[in-house]
Amino acid sequence: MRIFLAIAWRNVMRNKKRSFITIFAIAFGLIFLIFMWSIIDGVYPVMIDNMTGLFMGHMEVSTPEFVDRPALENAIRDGDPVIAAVRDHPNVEAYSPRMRLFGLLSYAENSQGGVVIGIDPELERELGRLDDDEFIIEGRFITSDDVRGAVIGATLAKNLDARLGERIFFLTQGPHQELAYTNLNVIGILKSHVPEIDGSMVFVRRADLTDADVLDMPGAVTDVAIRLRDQNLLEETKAELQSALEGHDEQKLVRTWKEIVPWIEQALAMDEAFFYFIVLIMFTVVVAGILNTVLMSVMERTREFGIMRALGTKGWQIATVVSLESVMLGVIGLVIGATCGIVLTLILGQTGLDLYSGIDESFMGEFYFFETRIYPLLNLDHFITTCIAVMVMIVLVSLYPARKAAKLEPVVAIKALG
Amino acid sequence: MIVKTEGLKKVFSSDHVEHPALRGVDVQINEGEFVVVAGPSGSGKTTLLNMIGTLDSPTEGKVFFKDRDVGAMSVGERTELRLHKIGFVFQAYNLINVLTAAENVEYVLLLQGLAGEQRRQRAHELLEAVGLEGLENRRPEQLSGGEQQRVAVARSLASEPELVLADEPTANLDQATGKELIELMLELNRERGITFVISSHDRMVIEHARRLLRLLDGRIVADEKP
Repeated sequence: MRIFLAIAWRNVMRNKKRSFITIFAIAFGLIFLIFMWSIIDGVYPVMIDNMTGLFMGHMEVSTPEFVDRPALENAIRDGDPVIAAVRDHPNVEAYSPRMRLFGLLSYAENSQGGVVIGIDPELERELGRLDDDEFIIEGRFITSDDVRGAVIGATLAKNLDARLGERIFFLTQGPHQELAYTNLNVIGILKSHVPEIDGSMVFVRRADLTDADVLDMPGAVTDVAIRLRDQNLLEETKAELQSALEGHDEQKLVRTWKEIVPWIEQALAMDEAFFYFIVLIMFTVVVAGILNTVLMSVMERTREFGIMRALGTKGWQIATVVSLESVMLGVIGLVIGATCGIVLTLILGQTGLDLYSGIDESFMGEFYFFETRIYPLLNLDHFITTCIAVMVMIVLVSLYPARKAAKLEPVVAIKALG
Repeated sequence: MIVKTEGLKKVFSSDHVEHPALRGVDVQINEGEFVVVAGPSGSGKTTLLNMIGTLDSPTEGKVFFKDRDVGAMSVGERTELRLHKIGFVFQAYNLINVLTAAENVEYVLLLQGLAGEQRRQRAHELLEAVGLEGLENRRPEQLSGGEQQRVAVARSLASEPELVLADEPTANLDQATGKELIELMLELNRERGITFVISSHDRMVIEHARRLLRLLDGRIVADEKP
């Protein structure tokens, strides 16, 4: 084997320029792949965290009817068993029972349709980030002591011309088709950059809606939002919760964020498909580079292989020499590419990369879950997978010229020029 | 008898046109002979050597190596035969370019699985025998044409073959170097009893023949012992 290693290595060194170009192609391809994957690893989880961490949660429980028609009649009448099942699940980190009521909000002469969401303030704080200072632009978030205190979306407040300390009126339909209404005191104004929240939502204590003087539905919820300790447990937890909630009066439906906002999942899938398309192009470039180099090398040395065959070298030994050359080029390219890829990713992982500079901030507001500065993240599994895939590809690519060289008829090869 | 051919014919085809290279060669070569196959270009010398050396297959006829029908052997058996029993010296460019002179000689021994020290010792002895002592670590491009052919001779002898086939070994050498090479082969033939079959149209080589096979248009037209 030593002699075949020597022949292979010296052949790699024989045409330094060509070998360098091939090594560069492999290294560049690998750097690109590592970097691309680290961007996806850095951006997607942050994006999902931003989206689910603000208000939505990783999943929610409601009745299936409420999903189709979010009306009070489709609420969960007795929320306590649902809340208990959610609270007791080991994968649940935080949860927030909610009572969503659609109706008319008015202040003075202004009125607008909107949704008032009854929450348990302390539980909501644990689940989401609506109480963050960056979002509460005036006043403060509600606590469990703020009877009829309301935090109102900034756009809605502007439309109603309602300011801090003022009283707004909410009119809705009760459980028996009767009118139900309440007065709410604005104690905070919220600007989350999510148009749906800012333009139509008001947050109050859940009890302020379910109390006898408004709905008289103590313990009722329309949905329970859930945050998991690890979003990778999504499907498993969904199945377990779904099964735990069977047998109650109303049928319950557990939906993950992927089902609540399916377009996000589709957008990510499209993004990922695009990534794999780029990967395919990069692999093609690397394959073409290696194949070109090794095939050229084999063709140039046809006569040499013929002589080796004549001397008693077996076909598989010739194939080994050719494959070793590819592997050597591959390993060098891999080491350089992997090292540079890691360094680049780690540096940019610290400094961040401003991909969206120059994009109008109002446009970015629509995509509140995007970070304007992205931080590539090196995922060891993905890094190893990429390196192995590149190496396997190099070995596979080398098989063709190796086979070609091994199959050379000695007499034909010796006659060849070269 | 080391080699025997029976009714050996070889026809090459290109563009649907057939070119007969051998038209029925019957020859027997015995152990220890120093045979020169002479003839003009295109007479079939190289084709005959390729058949004897199991590098090519005949269109018709048979080649026997010590009574074994070469045509009945598998590719692997023919490879083994070349590795252990036959040495080759080609016309030119016949060394592995990336290996030194010593490594070129050692290469065959490595294929045979000989141990390191023994291998180096044998390569050293052979290079010394062909007058290349001190040039062991030079690569082919650092050697003259004559020196390269000497390395090729040393390599052809490395496996201690019973038969050495040399195809126009002096074609790219000047007269003096060519003569030295042929005299070296004669010496090895005399001292080690190795059978040599050399193809050439070089008069100097023909003059050194112990047995001369004259080939013309793919047929042996004379079998002489000068």
